[in-house]
Amino acid sequence: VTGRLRDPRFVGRLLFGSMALAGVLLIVLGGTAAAEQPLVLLQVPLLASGGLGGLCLVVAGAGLLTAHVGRQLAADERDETDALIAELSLAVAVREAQS
Amino acid sequence: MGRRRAGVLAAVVAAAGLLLVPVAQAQSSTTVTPTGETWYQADPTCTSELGCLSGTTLPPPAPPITLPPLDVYPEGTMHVAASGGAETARSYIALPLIKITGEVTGGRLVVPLDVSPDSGSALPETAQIQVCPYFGQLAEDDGTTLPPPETLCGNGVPATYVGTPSPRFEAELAALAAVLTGADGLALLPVVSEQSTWHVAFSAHDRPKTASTTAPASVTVQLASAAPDVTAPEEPVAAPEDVVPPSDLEAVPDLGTGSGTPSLGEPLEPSTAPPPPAAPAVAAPADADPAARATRPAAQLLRRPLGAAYPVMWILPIVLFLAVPWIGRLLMTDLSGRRTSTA
Repeated sequence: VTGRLRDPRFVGRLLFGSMALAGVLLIVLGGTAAAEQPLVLLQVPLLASGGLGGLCLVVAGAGLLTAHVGRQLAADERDETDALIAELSLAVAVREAQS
Repeated sequence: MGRRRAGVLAAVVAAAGLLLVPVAQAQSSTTVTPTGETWYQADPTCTSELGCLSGTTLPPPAPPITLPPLDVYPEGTMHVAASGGAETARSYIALPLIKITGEVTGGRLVVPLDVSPDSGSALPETAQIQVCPYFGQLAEDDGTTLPPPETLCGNGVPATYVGTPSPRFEAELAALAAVLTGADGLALLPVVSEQSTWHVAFSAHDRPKTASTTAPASVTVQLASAAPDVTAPEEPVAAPEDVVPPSDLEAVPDLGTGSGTPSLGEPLEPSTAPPPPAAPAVAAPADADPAARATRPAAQLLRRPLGAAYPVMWILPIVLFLAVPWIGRLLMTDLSGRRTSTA
């Protein structure tokens, strides 16, 4: 686990995913509590604290998670491209050596 | 660098501590006395074959019939009654709940009863009364057949008869704590069952002194905070004319029509436990006279305990702001080369 926590890929996913999940939980919490209040006046603080806060967390977490996963995919693509170039370079070198 | 991190961490912990540690709450209580009372009775014309002549069941004839209040009881007496399984009277007690500061955690309504037969009292010990918050202005005349203000009986609590040392009805208002400060007062509605017949009378706060005059109803409100009491000492009993007229108050948009009020005369089925709150609704004043229709003062609607429902949420932007450098560094870390090349 300690090793994974040093991996920025895993840490980013864990952090940003947790942010989005916490936001969803906050929205549910605020909505449930607001539904139990008979007066709109009393629902507003719950929705403002839970709903808006949760929404901000969801948006921020989802946005950061999207950016992080996008960077991961780009890095993977870059790695694969580098590996392909390395293999091609090796093949060319072998070919030149044989000739 | 490490020292700066430690400082930031200490600041976050301190902020979290300030927001998370519950404020020490001292219990205090205050007694609220009525500023007005009115009782309503069912429209006697509603029993006719033509329906309610003074109500809204039929198109109002021209000129509209307005029945004079039929009040055969002593002046200054309030009434809650049922006869033959039908409601015949209900009472509304206006309370200056607007002046309560602090968070209301509970309360107790005490209604000393006038058991004198001259006041109409009959079998008060068999009475079943439900206490509901109401919203709106009361009619000026006692015993009127005008539509009563809307109530929120989804939060109603039962009143209990206590015979000693003096007959009275008591009701625990803890279930109404959330809506109590937003209400204009409390309504005493009869809970009718089949063939229930009883009559409860009590004194208004301005009832002339007679041999059978009892103390008016009172509400003792328990506050969570030690906020200074502004109701009882400063305004022991305010006359109805002392209430700020609606024209002097800032008007706010209508909050909608409440749906929790059973019609006067409509049986209110007894229930052991109050049903769960219905759809969010705040009753609008329901006085028949549009000119007298109450406008909800903005201050009244805003006199709730200030603060967010979840104060811990205020930490969120602070934490996010402090985490920006770390998140930025995480997002700028080169992720390539982390996967072992298969080549």
